[in-house]
Amino acid sequence: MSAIQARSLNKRYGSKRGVTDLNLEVGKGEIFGFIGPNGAGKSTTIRMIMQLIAPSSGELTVLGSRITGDDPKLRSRIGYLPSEIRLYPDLTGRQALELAAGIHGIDLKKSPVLDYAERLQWDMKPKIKSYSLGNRKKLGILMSLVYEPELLVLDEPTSGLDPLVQHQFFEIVREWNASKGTTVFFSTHVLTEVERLCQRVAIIREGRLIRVSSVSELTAAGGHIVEVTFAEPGDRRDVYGLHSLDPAAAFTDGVHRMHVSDNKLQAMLGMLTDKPIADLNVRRPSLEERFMDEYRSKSSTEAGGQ
Amino acid sequence: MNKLLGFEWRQNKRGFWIAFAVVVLLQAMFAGSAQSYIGNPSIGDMMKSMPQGMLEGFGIHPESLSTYEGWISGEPFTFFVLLLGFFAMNWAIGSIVKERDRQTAEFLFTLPRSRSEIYWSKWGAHLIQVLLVAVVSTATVLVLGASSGLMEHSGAVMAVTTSGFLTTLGFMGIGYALTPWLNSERGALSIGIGLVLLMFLFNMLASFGDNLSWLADLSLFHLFDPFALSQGSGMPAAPIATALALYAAGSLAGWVALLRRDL
Repeated sequence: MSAIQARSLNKRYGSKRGVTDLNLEVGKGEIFGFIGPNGAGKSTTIRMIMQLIAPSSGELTVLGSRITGDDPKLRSRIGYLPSEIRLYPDLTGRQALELAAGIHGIDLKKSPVLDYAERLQWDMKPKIKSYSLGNRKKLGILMSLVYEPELLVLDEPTSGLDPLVQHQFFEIVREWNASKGTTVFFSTHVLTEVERLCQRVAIIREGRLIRVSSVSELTAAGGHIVEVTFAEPGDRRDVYGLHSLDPAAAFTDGVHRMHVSDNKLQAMLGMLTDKPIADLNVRRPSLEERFMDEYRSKSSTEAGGQ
Repeated sequence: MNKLLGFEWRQNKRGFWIAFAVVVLLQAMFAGSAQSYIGNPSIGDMMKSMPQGMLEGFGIHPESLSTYEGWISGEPFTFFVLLLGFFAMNWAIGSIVKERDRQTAEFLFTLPRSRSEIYWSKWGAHLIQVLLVAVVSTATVLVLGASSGLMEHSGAVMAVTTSGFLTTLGFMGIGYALTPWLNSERGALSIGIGLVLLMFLFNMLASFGDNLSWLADLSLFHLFDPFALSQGSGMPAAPIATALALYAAGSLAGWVALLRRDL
């Protein structure tokens, strides 16, 4: 069963596009990454899931309920962390948590959220107006976990968090997913986070989905990156004929970098065996590199079409 | 509902206490100084030298200064409506726009509470706040009137202040109708204060001549005749119905717009 299902979903703001013909399915219990640059339509999609805005056309079903308007019962099953969390400045952190818990009908003292507050090194006594962006973000994370949501919708959750806290946050999300089967819909433009956390990923660009696949499939489909440093200094691309296997072979800071498809890897390594190699690194491309490839190829296809 | 109502109350707490202090103290001041005005011939002479239009704009009739009830229906009534109208209008017109402008709408409207529940909780909190200020002001005017021995008809005084409260509800109706459509809290407050002030000016200008008298029809300050109420004429049904209809229609329009609008 799907936690989120979008069919031909469209959102327009007057003449401006939000998202166009979005078709997406997120399975229950999945950790799903939703990536794209600023303005691509990530937040628009999330705001439709949270019923802050209504789709212009198409269908959106969340946790089995089709969204047709304001549905507070459905929202009681969703934990939401907005990208820019703004709360009431005169409340203390604890009061804000109590407010959220109270509205969900939960006793804050019995919620695991106080333990998470310690793990995130968050002080709940000061007023929200004195909080840094990071502390506001921590409060937002805790508010989204204050009850036990079936679906966690996280919109750029780690901006403003230091690496240690980010690590703790990912641990908590993984724990929830593993122990409670919580579905996580995770929007970001930090691709390493998706790589670390998500099972599947969707790439959105200018309001349209350009790819949905598992993270491993996405990176595997990108062939291999071969990075070689030769014992002899300088650019050896022409001397060793590296362009014959990758016409776009690059030389930067003493490192020769080639991108080869899986069927050319053997040939590439064979060609390198009799060369004076000082260092060699063969790896799958990172999600970021694949993301950039997808973007570039999509842009050039569109430019060619025009 | 109670939690949301309490939360709105808490958000408006500072504004409420300022409104409470300003309106109640001013009414107490007017009621306390009634003795200096009532039956004072020098005040009567001074009034004769002043432009009638301006006096009427402030609701002052020379004959109203002969009784405590009449005195309360003049300047104290005008300031009561003006000040309570400012505060109440701002609470109403700010109810949704402040959440959008402070970017707290994303938190509030993703809670597991319906937009209707959130809206009517705010509405309820504002009504209680306005009612409290009006009741305490009225009580203050009644107590001071009774203790000075000047007040003869407490019912007439209550009718005057009740008409002020109903006029304020009319302002709130306008505020609720506008709040879902605005994006800036400052802009909304300016519009709110501007509308109350504009209606006050229309009422004042309408008194300056027959060719401007139509302006009175555009002003809620002209809805009731406080002087007639002070003379024991009783609460007329039509203005009550108009004020309540404006309040109800504005509140419903704001609610329907909130249900349909993107946030």
